[in-house]
Amino acid sequence: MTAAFAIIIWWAVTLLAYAVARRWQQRLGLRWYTLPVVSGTALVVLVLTLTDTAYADYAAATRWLRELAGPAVVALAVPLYRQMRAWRDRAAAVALAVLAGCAASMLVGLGVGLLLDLPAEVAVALAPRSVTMPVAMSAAQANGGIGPLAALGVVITGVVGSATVLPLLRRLRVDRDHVDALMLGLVAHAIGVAQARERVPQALAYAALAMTLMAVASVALLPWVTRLAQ
Amino acid sequence: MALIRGDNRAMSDPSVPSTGAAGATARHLRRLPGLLLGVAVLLIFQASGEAVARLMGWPIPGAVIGMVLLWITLCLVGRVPDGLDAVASLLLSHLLLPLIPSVAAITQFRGLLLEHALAIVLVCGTGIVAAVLAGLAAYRMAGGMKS
Repeated sequence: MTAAFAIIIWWAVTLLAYAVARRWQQRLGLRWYTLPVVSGTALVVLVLTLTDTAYADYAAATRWLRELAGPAVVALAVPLYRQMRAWRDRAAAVALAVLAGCAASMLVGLGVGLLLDLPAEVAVALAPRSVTMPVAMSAAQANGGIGPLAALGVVITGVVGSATVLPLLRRLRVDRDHVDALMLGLVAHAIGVAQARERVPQALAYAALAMTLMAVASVALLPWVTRLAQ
Repeated sequence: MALIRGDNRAMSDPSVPSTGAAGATARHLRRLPGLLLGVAVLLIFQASGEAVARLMGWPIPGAVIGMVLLWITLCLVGRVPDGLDAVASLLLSHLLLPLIPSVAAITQFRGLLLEHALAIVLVCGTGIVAAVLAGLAAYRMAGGMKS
């Protein structure tokens, strides 16, 4: 298969899977299994398995599709600017929430991992779970964790987190737009931000803000947290 | 793709005879420079973010720094150009599409996943609850819940 042909085929498969996933989401409502990253990815994986295609080949063909995540993140500056009046007074509270949430997520995750006898390099790789994938991978590797495993923790936390954060907040009797968006961005990075755009678009800036600050906090805190693991 | 689709719709318009009922076509064409400018703005800020990350040696993705730079610029300019607004909302409504190929990487870790399945799930689950509880407590203490 030539490179150009592979690009066309795998873009088409991915776009089709995404379109089908969106259709399911409209039909069945917002549930964890109708998230396009779950159902769309499942369809793609199904095609990869049926055609016996190596992930590396698929990844190479869809490189520029993945690169679109960059401009999409830059585009978050627009809601950040538009909704500034809403978040300006709470900026300090958001920063503190992110710092506390980041420390708690890493410490508890690491503690549970070590209690369950996970090897140190696995436990450290799973510590930065609530950040975008490139940050998690590079931070984990810099601190002696396994990079790809960090990506796995990020994906699981993103999917599970974006599905469980809102029910958890309701159980805690918290029902505020800005808290919903803040926690989705804090826990579930880009997947949570996408969820926030569906659920609470008027507070999307909080999710964008939380995701950004989480990236900074994770990079800053991880060396301290890993020192505890030794 | 979402980004490209937005352009293609406008760019295919010249093939439509412009003499007919071309009101809609003309409107699309008039929007094209603005849309392209919006795409260019996003790419330029991502590249600038990438450059800042490299120069400073920060382990933060260029796109995240680019977002902060664009936000500062919008604050200085005082408004969002129409083209940028249109492109941004198109990209943001399809945020999950570019993540699908990355998430599919999970198939590569089937062995690791099965070996440590329970531990990984418990780590992620307890971490989520801990993050929400701690984050909420700090947010409350810092006065974030005051309306």
